Amino acid sequence: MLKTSMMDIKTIGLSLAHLPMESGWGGVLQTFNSLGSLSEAYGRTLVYRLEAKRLDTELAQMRDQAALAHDRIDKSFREHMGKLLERRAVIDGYVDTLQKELGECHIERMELLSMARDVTTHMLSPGIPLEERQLCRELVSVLTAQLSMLGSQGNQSLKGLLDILSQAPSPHQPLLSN
Amino acid sequence: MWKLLPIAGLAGLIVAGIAALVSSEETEARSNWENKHRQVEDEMRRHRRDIENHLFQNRRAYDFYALNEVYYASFRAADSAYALLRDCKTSLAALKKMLAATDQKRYELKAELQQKLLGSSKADKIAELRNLTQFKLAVMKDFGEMLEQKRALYEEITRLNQQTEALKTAIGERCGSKGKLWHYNLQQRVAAQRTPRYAVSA
Repeated sequence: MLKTSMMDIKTIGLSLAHLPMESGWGGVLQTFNSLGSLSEAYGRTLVYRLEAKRLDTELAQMRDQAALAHDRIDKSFREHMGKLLERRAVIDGYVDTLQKELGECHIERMELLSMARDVTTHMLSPGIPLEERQLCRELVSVLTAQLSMLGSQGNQSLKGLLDILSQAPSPHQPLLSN
Repeated sequence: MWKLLPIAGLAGLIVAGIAALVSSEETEARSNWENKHRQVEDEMRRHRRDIENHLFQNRRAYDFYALNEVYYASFRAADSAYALLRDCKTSLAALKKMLAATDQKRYELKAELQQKLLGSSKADKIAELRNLTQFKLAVMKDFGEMLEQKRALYEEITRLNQQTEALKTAIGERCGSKGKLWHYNLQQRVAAQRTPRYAVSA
């Protein structure tokens, strides 16, 4: 913008580099015999005033643009924060559900384990008929298979959470773009 | 002719006065223009700096909240994974005991079978041994599956711990004074606890 204003001055034949800096009676003596130089000086004065006014407008525009840029930055920040809060709500909800599921799963697993232990102890104790031992074996097989299945289910639920987390921002890259 | 000299002198003085006035106005106008020019340049630099600073501060603030969110989610995920691992370890330990007791019983039965037994008693012992072998194989199958689950959980917890650590460092280094304070407070809490939260043994 400032370069443009310099160009404007040059365009009307007034090079700023050659504008007289001295003032007072020395200048008066130089212009005494020439009304032409008077009109030139007046012309330059006008150009300076016009340029000063243009700079005032430019300054006002620049302030407006700066205010606009600040507003845009704040708006972008609010939008990003909004998305962040939405994602947080999703993740929190998922983690809450997962922890509840895992809590129930834990109780179930411990009960199954306790039953499997008791049935095994019973199966191995002396004086039990073979048929009963076989039934105990089958029961323990079902119980341990359930244990393994519950573990697998827990791992799958955890994997779901980890998949969501893998879409979250990485700590190795800048997060907020322009 | 000589009479015109004072008039010419007077005219010269008037022209000189006007020239002085114009020159002084030009100087003032130029000075004003130069001041404005400097003001525009200064203000432009200041605005650019302010905008960059604003953007930088917002980035830092956003980084802090975003990384914090991932940190705590990661932390909670590690908590869940650790709970699963604990259950898995408990189950494996119990199955191990069951298998050991079964092996002991099988050993006893084998020893009995090596002695001279009556036909029906021997057949019973063999059937019992077969039952125990089937039991052992079934339990071992589930034991193997749970061992695999334990390995997967252990790997996941190790990865989550590394991720949580990286997030912690990133918050401390990239989120300005707020992040530094957060990191410092966390370190203090960890030091106060003394024991690592996820000291996992394979």
